[in-house]
Amino acid sequence: MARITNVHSHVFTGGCAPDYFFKMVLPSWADRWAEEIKYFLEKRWMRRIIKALAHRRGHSQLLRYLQFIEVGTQNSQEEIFLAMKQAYNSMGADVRFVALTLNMDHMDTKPSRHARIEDQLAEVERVRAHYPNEFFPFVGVDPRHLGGTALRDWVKEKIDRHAFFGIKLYPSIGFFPFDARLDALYQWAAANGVPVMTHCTRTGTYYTGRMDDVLTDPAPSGLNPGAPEMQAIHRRIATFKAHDFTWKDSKYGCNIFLHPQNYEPVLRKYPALKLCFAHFGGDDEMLPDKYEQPLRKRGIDPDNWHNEVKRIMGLQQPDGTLLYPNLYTDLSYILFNKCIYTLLPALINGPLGDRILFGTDFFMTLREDPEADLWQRCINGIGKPAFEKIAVGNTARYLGS
Amino acid sequence: MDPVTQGIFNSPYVDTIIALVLVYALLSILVSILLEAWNKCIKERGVFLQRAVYRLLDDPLNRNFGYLIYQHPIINKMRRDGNSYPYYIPSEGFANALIDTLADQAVKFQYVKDEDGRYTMTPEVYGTAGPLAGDPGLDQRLQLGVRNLADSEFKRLMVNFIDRNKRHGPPDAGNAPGDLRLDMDRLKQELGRWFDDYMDRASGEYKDDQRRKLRIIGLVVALALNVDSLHLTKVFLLDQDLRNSMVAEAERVSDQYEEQKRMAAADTLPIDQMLRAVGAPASATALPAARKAELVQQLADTQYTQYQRQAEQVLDLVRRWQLPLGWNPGEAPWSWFSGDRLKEVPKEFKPSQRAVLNHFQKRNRWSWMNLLMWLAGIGVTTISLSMGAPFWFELLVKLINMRRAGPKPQSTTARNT
Repeated sequence: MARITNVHSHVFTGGCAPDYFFKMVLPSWADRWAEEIKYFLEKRWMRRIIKALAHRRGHSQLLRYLQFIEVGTQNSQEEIFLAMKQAYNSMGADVRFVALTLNMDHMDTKPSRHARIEDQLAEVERVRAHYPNEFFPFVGVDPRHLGGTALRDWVKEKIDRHAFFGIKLYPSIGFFPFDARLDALYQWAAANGVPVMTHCTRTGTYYTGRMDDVLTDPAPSGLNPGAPEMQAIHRRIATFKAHDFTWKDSKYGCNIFLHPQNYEPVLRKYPALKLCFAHFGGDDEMLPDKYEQPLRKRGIDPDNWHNEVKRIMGLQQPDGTLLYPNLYTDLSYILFNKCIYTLLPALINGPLGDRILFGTDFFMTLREDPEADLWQRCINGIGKPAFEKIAVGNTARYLGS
Repeated sequence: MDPVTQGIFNSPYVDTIIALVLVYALLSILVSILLEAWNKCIKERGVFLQRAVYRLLDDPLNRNFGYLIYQHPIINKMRRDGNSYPYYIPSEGFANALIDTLADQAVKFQYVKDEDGRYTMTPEVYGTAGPLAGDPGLDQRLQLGVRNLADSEFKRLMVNFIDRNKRHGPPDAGNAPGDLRLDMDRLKQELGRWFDDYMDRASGEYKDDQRRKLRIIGLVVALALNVDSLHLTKVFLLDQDLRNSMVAEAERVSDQYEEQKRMAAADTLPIDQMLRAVGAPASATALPAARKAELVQQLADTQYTQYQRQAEQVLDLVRRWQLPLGWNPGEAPWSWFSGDRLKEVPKEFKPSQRAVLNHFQKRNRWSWMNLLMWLAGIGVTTISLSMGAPFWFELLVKLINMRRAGPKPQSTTARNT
């Protein structure tokens, strides 16, 4: 098999994540005791006891959660990378991994003792130095850390040295992708073919503080205020703000920060931008709209994000050529869901097929399945030629090598 | 000592206090053992040290150098596994790791892609004007690394450390002073001292935190062994035989404690004190610093059996002294529910024994007052045990020394005859 690329993985440790990060990886019934649970689950002896009990009682989901925590609480990012690499030993192919760093310094206003983004990147650079042909990290950016040309220069310096290979956006931690402070970065990335990866599902990491802290402006203008999509975006924010329940529960903020439409004002300005909508809008959205009703009740626009991603990727110019030819999507995380394999072959062989990428979202997916199961399931589900298409050719084009 | 003072120090009250202090000292050891075992279990020492180092080296305008030095091989290799942190970092190791980490700030990794698409990495040292040709050596890298940092309190501190340790090289032919050079050995020593001073202060915080835990474990021990201080006091006051045997035991324990203290005083370095605490042989103090740190870690890791043995020894002593502790159906508070209690005091007992038994008989009967007294007794024990073994041992030594200044008390056998 040719050189495989997994374009979506994470290697950050528990030390890089804020104290309140753990709240998000717990089931909703447990998130109010997140700090206490984190304290105990960080202890190996406690995990051993729970593991033994879970084995005896056959709680496989709990066991997967513990496995996820086991990996996430490793001492170093290198150890997590090696755990991921090991899961591909039986693939019999040369594999490279895109590790997405995440700037979690502004996820809340509460103090936290975590290693900040600069520390995380410094450690990641060490891993890259040790595995220069297997480990390809992306820089996690947040316009609240640096903005404008300062942000651009900060990223450029890293990418010019080939220490990093792209940009990771995670807007649900409290900013919009059309934030004017990202303008210079997009301009440079579009001009230089630097890949951008963005999270695009209704769930995931989110701003854990009060929504009022990050949504001060009900109608943010952003980098392209004249874009026609801005009206729909403002309407969505207004509806969201009008529903008190949603407004107070910050996890629903994903619905407005991560909406695929938020990228249209950016793409109108920089149509050549190489952008990947991770997770293909989410596995729930690929399947019948079972979440539509509860979302509408909560004042959340029930657009189908999977269809939105497909729509934006498929937009054409009057001459029939693609309006945004550098838009990609990946199958990260959703690979665990066996139901999507009925849809994937048609998608991969369809008009978007050249822009669908293989990624797994290690180690987030350990809550669902072991890493080796995911790639094996993917090969079995879509067939080897389709797998090579999304994991070799498409990923090489996306990364520019 | 005047006769009045002598009388005071040989009174049953003082002997009762000595007996109580001995019990507290002994049980405080048990509390300390349990606390250490718990700390070991949750890796408290390692986590505390890691937090203290993070706090010391956190530079919000640059990096958290604490996080970075924990990735440094000198410190990373001290970890036993992926989930633990070292319990102790020798100051020399800290200084070396910090110097290397700061020197790394001048280094950037450059990657070159070959025809096959494979990357090769070359580290380049950056000065203020860009990359330098060749590696200028650790001392220069360190100075460049610190200079490359954004201006901050931490940067100023490091610049000052460096400037203070610059020395003129040998004079040139014209007898003019040579170039200013960084004396790395002196810098390491100063960084090491800075770290040790900080850790001394941090260990005060650690002790505060431990005190809170001591109270909880003190309560657990008081409840588990049913140590009612008010009941114990009464029994010691009433039972002369028990009191005298306890005082004799207290004298022996006090002598032993003073001897151990003399030995520990010889350990001036904190690492030597830690070695003693984890039960290393006396010869271990002669080992190199890095080996000592490893030994502390190894011994601490295998300490469970030692904790268990020590705890068993303490409990064995309690059993041997036949103290009115523990849970049994014939004694309060169990007797309040079981109904299994001493109904009448047998007539063949001596008056002193009858007084003790009368007290037991009264206490073993259910009443709200007895419950309140029991709770108060447990409360007093909890507070007492949370004061830590050293406090009680010091007090015991003082009481015994004062008592010894007076006439030797009459032995139990002599009095009985």
